[in-house]
Amino acid sequence: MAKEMEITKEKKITMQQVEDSSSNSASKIEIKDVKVWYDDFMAIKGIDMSIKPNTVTAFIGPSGCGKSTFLRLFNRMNDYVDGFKMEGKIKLNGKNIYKNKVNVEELRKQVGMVFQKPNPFPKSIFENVAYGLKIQGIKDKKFINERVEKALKQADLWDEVKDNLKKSALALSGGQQQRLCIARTLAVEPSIILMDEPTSALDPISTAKIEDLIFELKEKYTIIIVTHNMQQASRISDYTAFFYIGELIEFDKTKTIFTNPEKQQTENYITGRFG
Amino acid sequence: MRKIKELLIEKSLLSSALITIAVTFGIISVLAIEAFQFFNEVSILDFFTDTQWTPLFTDKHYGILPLLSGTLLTSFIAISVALPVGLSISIYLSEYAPTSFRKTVKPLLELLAAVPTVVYGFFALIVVTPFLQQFIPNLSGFNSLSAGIVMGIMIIPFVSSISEDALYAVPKELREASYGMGATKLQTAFQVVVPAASSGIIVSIILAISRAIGETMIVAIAAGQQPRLTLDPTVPVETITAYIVQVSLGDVQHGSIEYKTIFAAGITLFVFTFLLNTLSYRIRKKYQEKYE
Amino acid sequence: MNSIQKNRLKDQLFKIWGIACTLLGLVLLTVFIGDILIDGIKRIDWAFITDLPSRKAEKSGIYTALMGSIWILILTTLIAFPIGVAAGVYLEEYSKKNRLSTLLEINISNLAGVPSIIYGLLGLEVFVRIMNLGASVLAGALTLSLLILPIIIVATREAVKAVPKSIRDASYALGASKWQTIWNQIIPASGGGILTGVILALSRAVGETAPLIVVGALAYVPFAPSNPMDEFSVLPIQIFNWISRPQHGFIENAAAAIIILLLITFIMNGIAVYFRNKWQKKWK
Repeated sequence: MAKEMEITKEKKITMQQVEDSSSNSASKIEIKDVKVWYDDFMAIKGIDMSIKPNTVTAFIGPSGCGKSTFLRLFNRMNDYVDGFKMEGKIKLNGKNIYKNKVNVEELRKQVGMVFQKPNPFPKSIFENVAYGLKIQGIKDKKFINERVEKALKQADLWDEVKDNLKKSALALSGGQQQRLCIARTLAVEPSIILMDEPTSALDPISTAKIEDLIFELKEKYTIIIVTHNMQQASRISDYTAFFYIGELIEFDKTKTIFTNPEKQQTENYITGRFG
Repeated sequence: MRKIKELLIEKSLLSSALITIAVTFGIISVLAIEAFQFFNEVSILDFFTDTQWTPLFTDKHYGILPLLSGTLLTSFIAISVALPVGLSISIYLSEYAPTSFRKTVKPLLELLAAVPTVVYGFFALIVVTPFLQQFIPNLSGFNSLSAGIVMGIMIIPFVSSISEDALYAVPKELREASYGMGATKLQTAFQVVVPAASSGIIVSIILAISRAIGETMIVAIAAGQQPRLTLDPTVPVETITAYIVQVSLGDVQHGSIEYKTIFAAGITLFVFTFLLNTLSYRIRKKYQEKYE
Repeated sequence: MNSIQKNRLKDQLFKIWGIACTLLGLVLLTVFIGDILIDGIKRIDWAFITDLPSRKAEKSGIYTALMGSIWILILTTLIAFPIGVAAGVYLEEYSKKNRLSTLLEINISNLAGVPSIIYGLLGLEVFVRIMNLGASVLAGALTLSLLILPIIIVATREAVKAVPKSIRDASYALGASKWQTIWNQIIPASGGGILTGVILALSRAVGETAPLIVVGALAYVPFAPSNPMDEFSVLPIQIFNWISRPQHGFIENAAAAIIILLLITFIMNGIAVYFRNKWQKKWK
């Protein structure tokens, strides 16, 4: 049964279509020979990788090795940085997201991002979570309310805020704000979620809550998480990629990386001999 | 479709920004064209060397010097009031005053700059001149001293606010190094902090001068309408700006030489303030780099 | 006295001098305003506000000038506010670091320092003569709009700059376009700061005299404007006119009118400061 909503004067979309386009069906990511420069500095030196759907992949490596830059390739947030240039292909379900005709805004509805420092908008909790829907032109109040509730439940925040959705998001604690940011991302129902050190600004209890959350989310989403915290990587991820100065040194099942890595460099990093 | 909308929005915002360029272009063209026509009839040499300015009388002289001297005299008096007072305030607020005092006083001082200049003109004519006449008996009813002093009071916040920001921006490590050697606040202020903030202070002074030169109502009301090449602060004079007001209030024919004189006067004024503003912009840019 | 004691004395003396200077301006302002109140407060009554100007001081009122000022205020807001905010948003959010943007910046900084009377000359040639608007309220409002445009642009830029980058990042990451981000997040977040700047700019416009004199606002106008093409006067010009008259009664009128003008100015400034405080609290 398709409900009709008017989105813009240009096109009408049925709710069914919105559900379909954001369904969490297989989202395989293929990275082929990707290189990145900032002006003359080569930040990523040629990486090949393949990420399976419904997995959690952790990117680890010392500071400045390019993991955040690499992460931001997937939702093209690097496009805003002066001097950014990339070569190679990044394919989402077979389609290269760096082709010129790709609509970056559409891409970001598929690929969501949670940032290191929680960055809620200075608006109410409800408005924060509803924002992603609002900018798509969705006006159906019932639909929005349902999505907001669903997202807040998925982010494990609903019980804490359900009586007070009009309250300012800035009044929440750090951990709650970060879960709000996750809910905001989930409301759009992407298939891939990027997380750039999502717990490094939080206390241990909030961190644990979010790690549990990631574990739950992986059933429906493909998650890539950049982290400095190796224990975190070994706890929550299925696959781990070890980066060093712009290169991918090793990429394998997490268990393997942490117990029996192939490369010496990997082992040195894991055991703390450097980095 | 969405891309077109975004582009349209960007272009219309751009056009708003471009209006500012149109304004500058307009100012320069208007002044230049009318002034050019003026200089077709009056020689530039006369303009700069004649010591009389009498375009509205039968015996016409077009020397800008009297108006220029009126402008510079009043501005000089204003700066001699505003500079020491403004600087002292800025040093006091930045180096001595407790933060709460600073927080209350700063907006009050900026109030001085918010008062409409016609009100200051009233003070100068009705309050200050009679007051000063008690001490200077032959002080004329219109004179540059009262106007200059009141203008100086109005300009104090220009000097004090900007200088104070400059002083405040000096890193506290510099002060601590000086105190650590046993220097007093005064010594630290004048020998360490002020030199470090010198470009900001200079910028504030230049801006204050520019403001004084461009001021109209205080001088139009209190300084007089008698163009006079003099350094005597007790007699009536006329500034460039007051002359323009005088002509505008009268019945001057569009296209007549008298009409064009206001543009000749205007372009002189514009050149002065333009040079000062450009100078202060350059210094400000250089000074920003120092602290980044 | 040894040199250490001398230095400490100098230090203390300067401290006293500094306080004196700080209070000087404020004390003088209080004296001036007090004097004005004494001169003018008795003259203020309802008749003063509703009377038209006349040759007799006791019968002269500020009605036409006050209406003129209100007209000017409204028209100037309608013109300068959208253009100024649009330009400020463009410069902060869209323009890249190229020659055009540097030129725009230098130009605006320069315009902010041009004496207001020069704007009057510009308005006279362009709006009054070339565009044939005559010495109308519209010409006056256009002239003042150009005058306060740089103030609004700078205030908008500062307010927009203060919005943290993380907000923009979050909005883009959710798939919002540039304009959606600006309209939904940045302008609401910077609104308080922008409003403060606009109100301060308008407060300045209300007190401006010289450019309007040059444009042709008359000192003696027997009627209030009824449409934008009418001739007009404003409160500061009325004050100026009364000051220039020799009869003492007009001095009282001027003082009374000044009280009204100051009231308007201070209220506007007060509102602006209120908004500024509210807005700054947002970012703590």
